[in-house]
Amino acid sequence: MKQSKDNRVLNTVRAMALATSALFVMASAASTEDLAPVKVTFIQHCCSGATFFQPMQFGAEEAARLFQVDLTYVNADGDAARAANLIETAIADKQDAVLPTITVPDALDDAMQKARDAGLVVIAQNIDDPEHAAGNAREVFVGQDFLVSGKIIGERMIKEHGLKQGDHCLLPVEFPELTYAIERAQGVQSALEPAGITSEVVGTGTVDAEALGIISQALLANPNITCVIGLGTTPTTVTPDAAKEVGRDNLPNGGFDTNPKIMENIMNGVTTATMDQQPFWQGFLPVMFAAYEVRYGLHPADFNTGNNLIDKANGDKALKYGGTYR
Amino acid sequence: MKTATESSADLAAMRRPAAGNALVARLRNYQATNIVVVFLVLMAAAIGWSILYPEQLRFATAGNLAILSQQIPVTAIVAIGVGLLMISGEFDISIAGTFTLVPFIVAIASGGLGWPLALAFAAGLVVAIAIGLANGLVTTRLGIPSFIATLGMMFVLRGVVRFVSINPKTNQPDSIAFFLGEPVETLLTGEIVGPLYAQMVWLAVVALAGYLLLNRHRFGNHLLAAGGNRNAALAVGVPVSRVKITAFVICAVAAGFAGILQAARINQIEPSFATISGLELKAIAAVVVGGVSLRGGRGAILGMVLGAALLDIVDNLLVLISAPETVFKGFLGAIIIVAVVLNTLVGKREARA
Amino acid sequence: MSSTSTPSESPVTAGSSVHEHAKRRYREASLWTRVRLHPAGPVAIMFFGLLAACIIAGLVIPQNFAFLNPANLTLLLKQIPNYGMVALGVGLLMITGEFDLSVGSVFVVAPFAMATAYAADIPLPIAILIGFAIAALIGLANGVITLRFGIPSFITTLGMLFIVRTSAPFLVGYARSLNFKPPATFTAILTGNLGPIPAQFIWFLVMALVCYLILNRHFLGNHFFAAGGNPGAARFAGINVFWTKIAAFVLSSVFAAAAGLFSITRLQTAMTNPQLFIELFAVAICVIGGLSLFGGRGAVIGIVLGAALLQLVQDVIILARLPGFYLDLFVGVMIVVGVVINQIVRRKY
Repeated sequence: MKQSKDNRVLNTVRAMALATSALFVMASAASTEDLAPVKVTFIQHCCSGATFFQPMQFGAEEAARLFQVDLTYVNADGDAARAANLIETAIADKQDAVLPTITVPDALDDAMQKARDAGLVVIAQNIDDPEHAAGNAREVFVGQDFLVSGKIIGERMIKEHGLKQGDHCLLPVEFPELTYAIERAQGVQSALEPAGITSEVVGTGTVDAEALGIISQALLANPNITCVIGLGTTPTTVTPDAAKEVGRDNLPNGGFDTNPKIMENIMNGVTTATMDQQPFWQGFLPVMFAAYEVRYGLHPADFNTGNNLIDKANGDKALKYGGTYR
Repeated sequence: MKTATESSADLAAMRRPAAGNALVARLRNYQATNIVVVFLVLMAAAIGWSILYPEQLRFATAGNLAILSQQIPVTAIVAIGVGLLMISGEFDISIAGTFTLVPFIVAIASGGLGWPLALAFAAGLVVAIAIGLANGLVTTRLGIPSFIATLGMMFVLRGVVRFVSINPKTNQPDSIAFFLGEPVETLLTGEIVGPLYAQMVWLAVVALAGYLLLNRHRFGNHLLAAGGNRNAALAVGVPVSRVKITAFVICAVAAGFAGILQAARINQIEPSFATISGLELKAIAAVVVGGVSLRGGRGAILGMVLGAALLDIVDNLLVLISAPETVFKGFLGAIIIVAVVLNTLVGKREARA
Repeated sequence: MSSTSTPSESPVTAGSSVHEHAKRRYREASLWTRVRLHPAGPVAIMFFGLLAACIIAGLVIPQNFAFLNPANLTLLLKQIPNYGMVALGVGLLMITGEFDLSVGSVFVVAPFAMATAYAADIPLPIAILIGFAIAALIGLANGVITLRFGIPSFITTLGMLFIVRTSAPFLVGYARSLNFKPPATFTAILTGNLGPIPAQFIWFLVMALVCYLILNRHFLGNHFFAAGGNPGAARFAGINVFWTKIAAFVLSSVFAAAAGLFSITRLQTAMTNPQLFIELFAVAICVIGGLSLFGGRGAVIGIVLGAALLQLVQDVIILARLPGFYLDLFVGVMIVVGVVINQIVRRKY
């Protein structure tokens, strides 16, 4: 399963071609041909109601419709043991494919190996093993590299606002000990630290109004904060309001994920940019890959859903299709 | 929690072996009758359906039962701890923290610090006991409701878990490996035969210990008395505070041990579990579904175990029938309410406060 | 945040008619004893003590502790209603001896329903009424299930917490976030500023005043205390405990919806994201504020001060540059210490 970096890029290109051609195929053939449904279990790692996962679920369900997939979409409630249970349940339930998220590097190794041994297609989505394919039995990974995406938003903030040595960034995040928080923070810091910019992480929780207050207070407590990069939906959403409430309207801010409010702030020039990992692809492509591998033996490939930086220049569609595709 | 009005006569009747045709009365008095019936009906339906239509529902398959035999013991052991504590009339909502912190301590002690295994486990045990003691002392000696004391502990433990999980390389919290060598791994979570895993044996051991403690030992009487009618218990010389503190410690140790079993199974511990797992509410749900009174003073070990099993099995069935992701939590909520209503309706005679 | 801006309530009046005798005794006692024995006495001591310390620290080391920065004070006032409004409802209910954990979900779902209705071109007042009606129905369901079947409200509302939390994503099919852009006047009335005082805070005080009037100047208040303190005696005295408690359940749910409405108006967005642990903070605020977890005892001013104290502590932690990473830890300690001080102050009688 090991592959060089170049190979992975090549595979990505191949996968894109595959995806495009498949989209054509589905338009013509799939609707008329009556296929035996492929049974796929999709394991979202977090929880019900979290808006980040909405385009992902939308994508998975759209693919399931287009490619005659019998989709079981479940969530692991942020518990790796539950994710392991769900993978093994998929094996016991004689599913054709299981699509987990590797939130914790080794916790799912055994379960994924068992799934492969039982002949299931195993495609990881959203979060990969830090060692990539070498780390476990997954076939391919569809998603974004948190470390890279953190670096990209960090670099963009530096470039856009001329941040330099001595600047200090606040990195608010809902729960600092969650995987996405850890890796995004590392990614952002990998851009900031070489430029001599210091940073601090603050936990905000998920209650919007509370997060707003905590970020405001942090800004008051430390007037040296010259930029804010929200590492999750909640802080990215509320940071501009927090800055406004303490009279720092022009404080550079950016972050991760999209929702109508974040998009509006970007289009108004209040928020510089947000990292979009295109969760739609992370739902759509694994389901499609699984269907095609099970049916036709077409082997999928790693797919980087893109380190898609959304800013004012390219945000119009993200705004328009928020809540479905974006 | 309110003191129940259950009289000591009821208590005595409950534990005295019934003679002859008093079987019905005995069943009616038994705290877990409802859950046993509900559980058997559910199992019969699930197994029956999966035998008749194996293509539709693959419940009674070796693979699926293997999952349950690894998951149920973890939930059930936590539930036994929470349940014993609840019988004494107290709550512990800090258990998700204990569940996460204890294996963390064991892994750090045996891995990073290189302590011998026995010492590492002892360290984990000490931490669990310390948490239980702190909860118990704050509750009983300072006289504040355990819901509040352990709510505080829940937030404190989150902070502590963040602190001990800091990876010095990245200065961020991180999950760590939990692997104590093949023999320990086999002992804790090995496959015994077919779908039967070592966790089931551990559950049997813990449940038996709990049963002996609750039903065959003076401590059990004290526990029921302390939760049933505090003043009466004090009047007959039950050391209520000490009994409750012991129950807090038992609860914390059970949660820590369950955490070790879980960590050993997936060979890893994630700090986020302490924050977002919701284990504290799931455990309370399991226990009340199992017929333990939230007001203290009544409950049976079998009920706690079956309550935990019921929640995990229903969850498993929902996955097997491809229920939409959004109904899982709603179902959990409905089960909690329906089960407690059922327990109350059937056992109205003694439960009316 | 001075004492005069909170509803004027002398410590003496906050008992209930059931406690007439005790009240007479308080009147004869010294001021210290009266403060000490008032349900909100300990929290008042803690809050004003900490406030004084903050003011002194803010005067002595303004560079390192920006407490007296007007922006900070305004912000503090703006933050207090977040959990405070939820806690008011939960507190009223707690006085009747019942619990409401479902507020954490109502806080999300009722305002989400308002935003959904408003987005569907339903006039704003009706959209808001729909949200409140949903909240009231949830409260009613909590009450009826709890009281009809005689099960602990902790259980009913725990179940309801889960059911309601997933109801919105279940009904609309997905997790969602949508814009909520009411007319600017509406936004200003709810979340604008009156000079340095944020509108939310004024609304919070109004709601607290309403609670105070219900609790202390209306027969319903006596019924609340009686139903929580001794339901048997209350029934004997001809109080309809069932409807009294139902009223409290509905109020609790409606207050949570109101708090959620302020939140989505401030953010101009409504989301299905679970807003975790609101219900636990609300309970903690009430108990810190001197309410008995078992009913029958408490004062509205205690809830207000409890909410203020929680935010003050959080503010101090962040302003003092203690690691924000461990905010939870400090909040946890504060909850326990707050309740312990309550006990100690009271017990010294």
